[in-house]
Amino acid sequence: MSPEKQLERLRNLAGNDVQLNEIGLKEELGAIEANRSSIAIKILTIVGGFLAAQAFMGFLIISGLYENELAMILTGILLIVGSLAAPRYFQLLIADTLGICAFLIGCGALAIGLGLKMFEVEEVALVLAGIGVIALRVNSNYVLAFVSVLLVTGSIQFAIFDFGGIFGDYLLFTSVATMMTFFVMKEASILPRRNNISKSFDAIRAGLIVAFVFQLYMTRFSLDLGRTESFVWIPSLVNMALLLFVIHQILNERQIIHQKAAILIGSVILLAPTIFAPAISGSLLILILCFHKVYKTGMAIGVVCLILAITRYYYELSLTLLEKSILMMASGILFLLMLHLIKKVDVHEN
Amino acid sequence: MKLVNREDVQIIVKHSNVHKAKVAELLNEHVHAKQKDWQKFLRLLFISLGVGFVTAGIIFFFAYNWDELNKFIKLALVQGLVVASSLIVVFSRVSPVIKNITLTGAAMLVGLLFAVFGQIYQTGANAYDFFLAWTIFITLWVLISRFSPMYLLFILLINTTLVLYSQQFAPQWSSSTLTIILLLLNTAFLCGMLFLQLRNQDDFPAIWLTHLISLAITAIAVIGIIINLSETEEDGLFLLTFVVFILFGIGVWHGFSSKKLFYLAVIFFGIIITISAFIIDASQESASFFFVSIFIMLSVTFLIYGMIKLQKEWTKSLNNES
Repeated sequence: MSPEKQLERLRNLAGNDVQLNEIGLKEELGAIEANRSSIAIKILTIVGGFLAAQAFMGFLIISGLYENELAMILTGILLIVGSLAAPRYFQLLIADTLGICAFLIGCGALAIGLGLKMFEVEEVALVLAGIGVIALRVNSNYVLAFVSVLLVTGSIQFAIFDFGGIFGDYLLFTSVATMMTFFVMKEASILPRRNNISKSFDAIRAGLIVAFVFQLYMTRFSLDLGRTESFVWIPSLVNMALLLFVIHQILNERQIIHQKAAILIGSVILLAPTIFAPAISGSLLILILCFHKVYKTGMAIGVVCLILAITRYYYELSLTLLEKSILMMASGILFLLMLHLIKKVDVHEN
Repeated sequence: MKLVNREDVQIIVKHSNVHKAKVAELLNEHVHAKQKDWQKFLRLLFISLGVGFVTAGIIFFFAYNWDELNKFIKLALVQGLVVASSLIVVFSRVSPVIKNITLTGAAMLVGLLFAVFGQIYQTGANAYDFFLAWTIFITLWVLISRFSPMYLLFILLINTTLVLYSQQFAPQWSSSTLTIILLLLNTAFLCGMLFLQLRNQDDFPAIWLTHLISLAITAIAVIGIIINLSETEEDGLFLLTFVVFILFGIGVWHGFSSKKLFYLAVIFFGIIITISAFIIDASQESASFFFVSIFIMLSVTFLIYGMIKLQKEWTKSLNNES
């Protein structure tokens, strides 16, 4: 479609009472083709930047340069500031790899410099998390925003891991899950803010979902699910509460009032048996959130996570094969009954 | 007003004074899931969960009683399932997609059948025989199915058979020989699939299948070369590098002639990784790490620059044609 037609289309879409800045819009439509990056380019940028940064860290360590902590700290700060400032002056997709690489090397150098003599590991991790937050505030570049989200959650996770508190894990889990849910749900109020957060909305959303998947599968409590400690129901409850909130919102939006209570109670009953497997309710949360907001990549992530979570749930259940078999057939029949039920409701409504 | 997506709304927000309520309305009306979508979604979710759980339950039930079952019942059970699913495919009037899924299920059951047969009669521990028999006996089904997942299963089986054969019967093959054979075999499959794609108007073979095979070929090539770097045999590495060079050349040519960036991205990234491995293998001093770091940064930047430029040119020529 030509830019003129696009402009016409958007004008119609916005309606008459909205004032469009047509000059800016035209520029954007012209630039958008030049800067449209497929998912392949994004993956290439991130993986390339990460590999280059890793090789550079290897250079710093083998050459012994890392021992000069002052130089490391200064280099780190310089690179971080440089990589955050650069996109303001030239918005070029091709500079992304360079930028992300400089940012990662900067974080690495700063971490080595700070950690060598002066600070504890968890203090360094918190500094990195702070840098991630600042990066999100001052930058709107897609790849940098995505990496920053993972830097923040990853550093905090690392600090908690080193500190050794299991409740820290739960706190982080709750924060990541809540942030992801509200970020995705509140799209309509985040977008019009016109700040860096709203500009990099897609990137932060993708980052939060990936961070949440890490929380579901990589944390200590998810690894020794239901075996060594007994508080694994906490993240499950968090997931369920968020899931109910999302379903409630969806029902409100679709103006389904009569069956609301029944649907919410039904969801609680269906979710109750998964109380010791937070990965199941977590995957469902991703799936339903992303389906509601039509975010295809997120939906694919949700489906894969759900299959993995259900498989592991049955694998780790300490029941005999016969009991598992009966349980599965019963749940299968239950789901088919639900199918029958919604088919009836659909026919009734139409 | 069709084909409104999130990006449109984002652009409007960026260049107008549009307020919150209007944004919510636009998103709600044009972007987010509607009641119809939800009905479809829930149906699909419940039917897959329901059928999946019931089938898994039945399989687990037999698994639980497996040791006590008579060997005739064991064989009859699996064979019965194979026969039943083939009958469904031939005689029922369900949609072709369901027929294909059933046939793929039957192809899996053939593997199960050989496993049960081997367990009962103790046919020996040559895993390669087992995979070979499985492959041979589903070949006809694969050919008539015109179903991409089925072809994926078939290709996976052939690769597995070959790797197991080389481990059990051909220990004299060097790892570079095996890599070259795997590369040539999968490239042959890829060429066949691409030819079919060109000839057929429908979605067979699916794009994801050809992309997956190309990704696998590149991964085999790169990993094969990196493994060979650490071995002492210089001849094998030379031949392997030569073969990979030619295959990558063909891939790049195909990427240009069919205007598909995917092939260029995958192959050039594979080349970047391979060259980095060569540099680090040559000298493990700090300078080579420094050099690799700079090399990756610059080459990936250059690759992305080239891809964006090509993409622009190709969309332009596509627009001119239409």
